[in-house]
Amino acid sequence: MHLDDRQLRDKLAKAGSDMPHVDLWPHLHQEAAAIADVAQQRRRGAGFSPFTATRLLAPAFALLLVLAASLTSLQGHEQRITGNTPALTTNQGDASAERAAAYNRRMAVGEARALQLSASQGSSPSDSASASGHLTDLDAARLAARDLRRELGFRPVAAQPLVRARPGPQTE
Amino acid sequence: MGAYARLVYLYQDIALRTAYLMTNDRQAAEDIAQNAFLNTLRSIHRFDVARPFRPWFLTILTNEARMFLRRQRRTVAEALDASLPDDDAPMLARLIEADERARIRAALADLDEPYRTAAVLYYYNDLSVDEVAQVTNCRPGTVKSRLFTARARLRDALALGQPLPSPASNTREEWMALGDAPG
Repeated sequence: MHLDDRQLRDKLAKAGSDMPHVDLWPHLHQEAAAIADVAQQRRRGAGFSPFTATRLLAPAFALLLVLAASLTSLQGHEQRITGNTPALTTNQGDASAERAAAYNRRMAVGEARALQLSASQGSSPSDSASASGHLTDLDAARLAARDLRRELGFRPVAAQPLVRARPGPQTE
Repeated sequence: MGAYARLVYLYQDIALRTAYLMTNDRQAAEDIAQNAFLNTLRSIHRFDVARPFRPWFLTILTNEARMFLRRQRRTVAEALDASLPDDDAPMLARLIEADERARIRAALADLDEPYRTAAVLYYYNDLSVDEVAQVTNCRPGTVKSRLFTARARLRDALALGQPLPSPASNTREEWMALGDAPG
């Protein structure tokens, strides 16, 4: 008996069709709600509180102070040996200020882009679907999974569009 | 929980039927599908929305099914389906159809778990070889080899029970010829 791939697919589809439709949601929704509550509490609990920030940053700040003090002491020592002042010119000071300003501008642009991205991801699935005019089951599942992540408070990770645009009807 | 309900409604039939084909046990299929959906919710933070959801979900589902099979070790194949469709088809024809479906599931159940999983994912869920490899955490070459073996074993198993002639269209001579050699 020869069985090609298509026949095997048909046979498995037939064999699987004996499983009757069962609505799982009534069995799932209570436990799912409990799991979602726990996930959200964990998310809130894992926040970065000012107390945590102080506790983590204090040693680093202390180390920075020690380093600065050592550097000042070394510079004083060098001045005593050579009689020269450290080579910090006004021009170099301006250049570093300019670099800092440029960095701040880049950060501002990046934040604006991130805000734009999160705003676009905040649009409802129906908006995205209607924009493309087509939504397959596979896309619907990805959208639902993305929405679920957002509902539970996990940050979005995808930057590319979730729905593939289908070419519209050709016009003369 | 609106998004989660959407996911459940989109995938519950796929989950139930895939689990049923892997276990040949309806009650187990329901339990496996439910656990898979709960585990999906627990680990949704690990889902990369840039990738397709179906292989990711089927990974969770097949892991659940594998754990069940490990506990069970051996499933009992159903001989005949108890709930036959209520239509106008002759009783014998319906029994033959149900028997054929049961034979396919029994043939699947006789396959070792890795071969069965590969066959169900590839032939029933229409995953590509690469996706099956991703779901089962092995190389595409291994998947191809498993599919080759699974197809050969299924072919052998299903060839043992050739379909009987249709009771509606066959004459007495055709039925007799099944048992009698021509004289």
